[in-house]
Amino acid sequence: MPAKPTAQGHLARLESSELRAEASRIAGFKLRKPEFGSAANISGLRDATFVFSRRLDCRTLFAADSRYGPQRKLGAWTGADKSAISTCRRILRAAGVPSAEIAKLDVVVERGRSAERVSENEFKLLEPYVLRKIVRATRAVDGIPVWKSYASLGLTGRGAVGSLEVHWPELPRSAVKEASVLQTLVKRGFKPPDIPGARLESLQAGIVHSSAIGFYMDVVAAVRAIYIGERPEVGRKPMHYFNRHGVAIAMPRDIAPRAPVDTAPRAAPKKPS
Amino acid sequence: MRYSTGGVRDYIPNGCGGPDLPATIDEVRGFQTWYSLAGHTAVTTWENGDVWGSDFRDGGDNDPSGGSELPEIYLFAGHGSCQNPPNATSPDFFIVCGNFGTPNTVNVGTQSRWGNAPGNLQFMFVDASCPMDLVSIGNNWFPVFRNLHMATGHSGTVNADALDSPDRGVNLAARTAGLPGVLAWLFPQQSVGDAWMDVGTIDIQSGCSAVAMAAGRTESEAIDRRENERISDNRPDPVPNWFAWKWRTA
Repeated sequence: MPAKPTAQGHLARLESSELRAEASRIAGFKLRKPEFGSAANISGLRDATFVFSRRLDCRTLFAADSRYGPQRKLGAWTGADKSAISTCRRILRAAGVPSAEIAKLDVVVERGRSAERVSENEFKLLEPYVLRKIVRATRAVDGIPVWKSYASLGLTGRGAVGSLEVHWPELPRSAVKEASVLQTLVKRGFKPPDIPGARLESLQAGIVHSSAIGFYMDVVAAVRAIYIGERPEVGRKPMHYFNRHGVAIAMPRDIAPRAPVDTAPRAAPKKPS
Repeated sequence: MRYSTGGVRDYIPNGCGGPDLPATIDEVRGFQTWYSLAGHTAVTTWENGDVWGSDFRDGGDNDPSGGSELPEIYLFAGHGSCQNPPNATSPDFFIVCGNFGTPNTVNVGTQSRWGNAPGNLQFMFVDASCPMDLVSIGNNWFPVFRNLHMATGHSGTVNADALDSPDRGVNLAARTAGLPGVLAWLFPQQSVGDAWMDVGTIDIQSGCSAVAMAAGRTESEAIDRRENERISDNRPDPVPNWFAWKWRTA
């Protein structure tokens, strides 16, 4: 008697063809006899070389070629920025990213360096070198920044897709509208709450949403306030997100938070006897 | 693997130099959530005044109630030092606001040593502004590596700083923990170095750099760890003859 199809089996039949076609169209991946997987809010395919997956609840996809990277068979792109940027533009179009929402496409350079220990306190530094170039896209809708949306593209040495992430969720009209209101309030002198021990450094209205890796897709309009401490040499600047009333927003979720493990205060250290 | 986190939000209420950093608590708890989902075991998860400066100083770092040498993996989220600009001899500091274990400022280069017996630490994740300045990395971070495998942090200045955001630590956890079942490949699982290059540049100011560093017996081993080592590789402790680091600048 044939085995009863599993839920994964049904899903594989429903989704595999489309995933395979998207992997080919967006990333240029030709998957051979791929394995299908689906869990929580994501589905994908993989074979011995490629992985292609996409979230079910937003426009978010991941693609990777296991041979990509500075130490791997296909290497990493260190060539001209212009051709990498134009490849990224083409990929974003294939992924359904509206071109009007691409605020900026730039190239981030990853560099490396080594040093040898000559003696306990003496080291010989070698010259730095370029490991790879990554194309990063940032997003704005009607001039409003969407802070956590991005696309990141790493190309192989020959210019094929090595690693691709696109996190460009569809936005509710209400969030864009509210962000527009907040932008107007900022222009008209929105005053965020004072933070003890710090003064305001910058203020901007925009949209914040959940991360690419996570089980939620929350979208919230907010005013982002960045503060600088009274002692600037004490780093990690406070950053707060407020609604139109100057009240802290509930931040978008990624994963249901775990309750703190240690609830009792830590005991004082024992005095040496 | 066993991990610990130390997150310091409260600087002002405890009488330390501020300002407070509310996102550090979400950051360490989010880190714990992903690592727990992946089956890793929490050793200590102290917050605020229960995170002590002595936890990061050689000698105190084996304190059974919360030293950073107890687990294989430690994430610190709080304040750090940020010179303007740093030079080759500038020290790097973590800054806590502890109920005990003072002083609250830890000079990494002179006081921290990780992986030396009986310590266990293999991966030190620092999300505290700029205490891994590229210009002074030799003075401050080479001596720290005893049997430590890798460390991550930021290089920056007062004007090119990391912002108080939970996203770097939480996403580092999501990308390095090794999620269960098919989630292990549906979401990207990365080496420590690659994950930090991607997430260490979230919510940092232009000019600030995410830095990941590894040690090895040879240059090629140090580079291989920097590029490829995952927390679950179960690699042996490195002999720190060579160091290899990489960075991305926002």
